[in-house]
Amino acid sequence: MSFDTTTPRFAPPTPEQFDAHLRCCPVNPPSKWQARAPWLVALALFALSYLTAGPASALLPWVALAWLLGHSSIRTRRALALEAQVRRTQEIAMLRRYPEALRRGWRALPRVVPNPMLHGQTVAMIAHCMDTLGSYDAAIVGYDYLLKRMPSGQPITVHIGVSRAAAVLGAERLSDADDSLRQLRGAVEPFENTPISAAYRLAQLTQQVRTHHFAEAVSESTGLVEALRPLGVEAGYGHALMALCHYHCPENGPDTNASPDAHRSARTWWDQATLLLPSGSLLHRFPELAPLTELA
Amino acid sequence: MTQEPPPTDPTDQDDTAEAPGVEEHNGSAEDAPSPAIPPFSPDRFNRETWIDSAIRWAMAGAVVVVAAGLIVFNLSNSTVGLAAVMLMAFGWIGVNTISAGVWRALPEVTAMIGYNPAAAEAELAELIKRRPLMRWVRLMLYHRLASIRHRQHRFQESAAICQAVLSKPLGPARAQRGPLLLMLAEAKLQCGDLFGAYTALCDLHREPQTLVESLQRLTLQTRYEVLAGHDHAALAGVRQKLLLAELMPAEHCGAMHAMLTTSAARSGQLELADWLRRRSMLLCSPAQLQHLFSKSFAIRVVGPTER
Repeated sequence: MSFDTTTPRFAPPTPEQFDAHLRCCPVNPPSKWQARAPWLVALALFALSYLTAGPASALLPWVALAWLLGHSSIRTRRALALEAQVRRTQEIAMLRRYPEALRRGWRALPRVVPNPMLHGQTVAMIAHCMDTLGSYDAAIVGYDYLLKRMPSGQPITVHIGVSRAAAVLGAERLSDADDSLRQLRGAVEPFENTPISAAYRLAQLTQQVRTHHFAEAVSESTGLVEALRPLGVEAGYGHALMALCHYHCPENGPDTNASPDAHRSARTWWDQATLLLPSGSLLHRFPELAPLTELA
Repeated sequence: MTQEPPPTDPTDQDDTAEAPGVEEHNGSAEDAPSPAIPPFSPDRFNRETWIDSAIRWAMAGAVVVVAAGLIVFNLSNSTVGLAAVMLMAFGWIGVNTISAGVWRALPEVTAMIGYNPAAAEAELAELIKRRPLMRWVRLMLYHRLASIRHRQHRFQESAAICQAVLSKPLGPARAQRGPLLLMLAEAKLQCGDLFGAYTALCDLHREPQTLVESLQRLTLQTRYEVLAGHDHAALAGVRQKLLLAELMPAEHCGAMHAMLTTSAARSGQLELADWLRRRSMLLCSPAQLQHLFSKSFAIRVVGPTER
């Protein structure tokens, strides 16, 4: 991640930088002996008090007890503070302040290595931020890192798989994307009417647009509104892509005289899309939607 | 995170006696008395917390007596003295280990509430029987019981548990005050008790909240305002509210739009109402919208997996 001091431009990390950062900060939970160390210290103090005489003998057991209580209290406070820090970073990402969330997550990663759950959440959040900022190749590095370490078939694993496929499409690696989407088809089926299936449907639609299969997308558009609904306002991206498919559909595309019908359908979908999302957001994520602004 | 004004007092309006069409509580098939944990009784809850306190105070008293005995009889340097100190130390650690074990089991119970409430309740019944527990650990057990009752649509019981837990000092679990108040507010709304919901929402405004909790509070407050007829309050800062609603899951976002549509239509802002209605139709299915309007926007926002 680099910040140019002369201009306030933000540049997300490259895939190589992210890969190196992940290598530097692998999950490293405390070993059994590290976890038992405070107890061993306390036991040693108790033993020492037995072996010594005088005031030290009376004092050492209390020191051992204070050590145990103090140590566990400090450890708990540190864990809670770290958890709060990760949660705050996730909230910043939820509020769509992606550069700030990315910066905080990047800096927090070395501190969360003892906690596998927080580590996974932080990597996922960084990858999501990079995905949203258009740094698709770097996001794929993060998604791959998580997919290698998570149990297959779990909802979160499938969701990350779908996000990865969408990022691959964003990176214009169409052949890889096709493979990814095919592999995910069976895994997504149990999650009908959830954000997972909706994200998968959006990825399929994106693939059809990127591969110029507009007629195929139009022919499969029945039930698209229902399929995309779990995405909330982000369903607007799907509506906009369907508008583009109608606009470019070879049977009634803009090059033919039958364009008024095509334009009517395209306009209906585009109106739905802009009802959910501002046209600026739509164009930022899918620049190919630019011709549709003429429909407004 | 979100700084909308607190809800308007229901006594400001004359239509607050009863919310129309509130979801009938204690009326689902899941309401059959549970074999695992009997219906909540405040007396039993108070007795359990009292017994926990009594055991712990008795132990503390024993520590003081033993320490005084060691000093008075000058045994602190003897083997007997060391044995007594070690006994006290390990006894204290052992008592706390019971609470620590229960605390470690809580995340599993919390996760289970989502997919198998009956098993979660059985597990919770076992945990509640253990004693002595630290007070805040027992309160967290009852918090999970309230979540189960909430999920079972036993809203009166859920509200009673929340109120009982909130009446005690939460100590290290004070971060759970927000989720408890959210559950209480939702249970009160489900029961049609607008004044109870108002009180809980007012208390919520004094609590620090996470973003998700703020969004849940926004939904509950809007629902309260729409049910109480405070349409202008519901529509205050509508653009900001919609930006926040867009961060919610689709169904909740659609419910917010449907609620605001009602307020906009009632207050004569027809253009805004139409825009909100068209958005809500994209965010919610016709069946979901019909359910929302027929049940006075009874959408569950408080999930079983609180912090």
